[in-house]
Amino acid sequence: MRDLVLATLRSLRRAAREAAHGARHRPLLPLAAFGALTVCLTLSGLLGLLAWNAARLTKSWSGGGQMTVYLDEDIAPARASQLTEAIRRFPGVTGARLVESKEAYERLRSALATRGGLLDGVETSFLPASIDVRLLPGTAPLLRAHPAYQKLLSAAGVEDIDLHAESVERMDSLRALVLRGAWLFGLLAALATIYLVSATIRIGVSARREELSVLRLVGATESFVRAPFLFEGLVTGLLGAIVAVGLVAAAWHAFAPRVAAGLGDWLASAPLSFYPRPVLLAAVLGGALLGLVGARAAFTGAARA
Amino acid sequence: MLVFDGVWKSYQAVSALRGISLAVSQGDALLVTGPSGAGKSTLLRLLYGAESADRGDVYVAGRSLARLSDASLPYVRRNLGILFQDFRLLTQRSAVDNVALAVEILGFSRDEARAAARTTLAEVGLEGRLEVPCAALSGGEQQRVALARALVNKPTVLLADEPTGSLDPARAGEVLALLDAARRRGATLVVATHDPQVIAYGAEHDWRHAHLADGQLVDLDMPSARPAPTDDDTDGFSTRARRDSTLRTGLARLSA
Repeated sequence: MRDLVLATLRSLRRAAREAAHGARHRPLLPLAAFGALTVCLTLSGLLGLLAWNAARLTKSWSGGGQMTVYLDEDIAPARASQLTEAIRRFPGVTGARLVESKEAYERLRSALATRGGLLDGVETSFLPASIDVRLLPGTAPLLRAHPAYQKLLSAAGVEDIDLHAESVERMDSLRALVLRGAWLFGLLAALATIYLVSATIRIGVSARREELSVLRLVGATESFVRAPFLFEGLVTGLLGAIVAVGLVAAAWHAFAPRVAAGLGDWLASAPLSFYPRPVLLAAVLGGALLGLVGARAAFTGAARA
Repeated sequence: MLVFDGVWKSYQAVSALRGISLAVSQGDALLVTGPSGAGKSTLLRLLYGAESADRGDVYVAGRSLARLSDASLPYVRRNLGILFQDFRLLTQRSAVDNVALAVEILGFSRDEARAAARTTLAEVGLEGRLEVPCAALSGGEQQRVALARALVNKPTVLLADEPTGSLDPARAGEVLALLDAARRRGATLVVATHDPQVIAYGAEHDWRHAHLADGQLVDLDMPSARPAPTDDDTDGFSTRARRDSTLRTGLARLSA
């Protein structure tokens, strides 16, 4: 066991030494591989971050589901409170809150922001009171078929009910589209990374063809011959991924506050957030793996060159 | 033990070897002579697996090269010390690094490999040129580095293609003495050459002698010329080849 460990350490040291030797003699090749890999991973990281936040946001907008119960203009406050209490006991309802007509007016004015002046001269009671209802995720379609919902539709003081089903579906499909796009881009970026690393290492293999041929002639195994190139791919991938993570983090710190300020209340339900640490670690390891796979691919079809 | 069993080899339409059958016992030396293009280098290339026979088989240390997988070939080559006609050195690396490489592939540490390389380079008279890049060495020095690389692992088989090509007579004599010393230690030696000095040295030191012409073995161990095999006589051994006692012994050991 000890011999095996020692032999492995020797192999690693030799692979590192030979990779460094190759990099010293042809520095442009590893630099090109490193640059290409870093650009691909940085773009993927930025797009992934965008998609991840967009998905969280759309989920929060649609997430859990909402229902609005519009009340008659002349409903008595006691009846409105009674209805609110009754709705709280509906299946799948996590909360219900009575929104007076004045509060509805303030909300509208706030949503219009700089164009709030449009409401100047309009009575603050022109909007009907309503009940905002929060639902458990996925319960909206079930609730629509529930007898209590049918009973509520025809209850005294209730003018209309909006389950926001269409907007929920729109948000869900938007989120799915964003996530699919991000995965597709990530896949293409991974393939491009493998191709670029493979192409640059293949050039290095070609430049050292004579040397590799000598190694094979004196009895070196394929793993001995390839180890320095695999090591080079691994290190290129690892360093490229670390730099890419740094660049994405820098971009995040530079732009996230401005984006958050620009979007304002839109982000109230899901503030922008950076990748969690396990994701960053996985990205770094993934970069190393891509470099390794790229280096391995450089030998495909050229093993006996 | 090396055995050629009815070996044919062609490059496109040109026949390089035509039905070669011969065997070399452990500790024997075989001098392969012949004019340029006779097939001497092809015979060596078949022995270290750089080429494969079109027909017939080559056995090295009892292993059929025709049936050997690519993954197993390096392990056979580790038993061989090869002195190439064009040296095949890594010219940007130092003499000691070139020789140490052959030791490192066996799994030894860099320090161990360099120590063994220094000792062997001293044996070939290059102790003062250890760290010089091979590109800066003379042809004769490069040849001795290549010889040191071939000898450093104390191989059981030594193959040398024109081992004295770049050397003056005095140095050539030293190289031949080193090769013969390896043979006396038990290594099987195959030397391809057309250098009269090597042929004379071989005759003095009881080396066997095979003469190739036009891809055929026309003379083995000098006394009896052997006719070229016919097409009907190429699968296996020719009748004459079967009479060769060394070959019979070789076959008996392989089939045991």
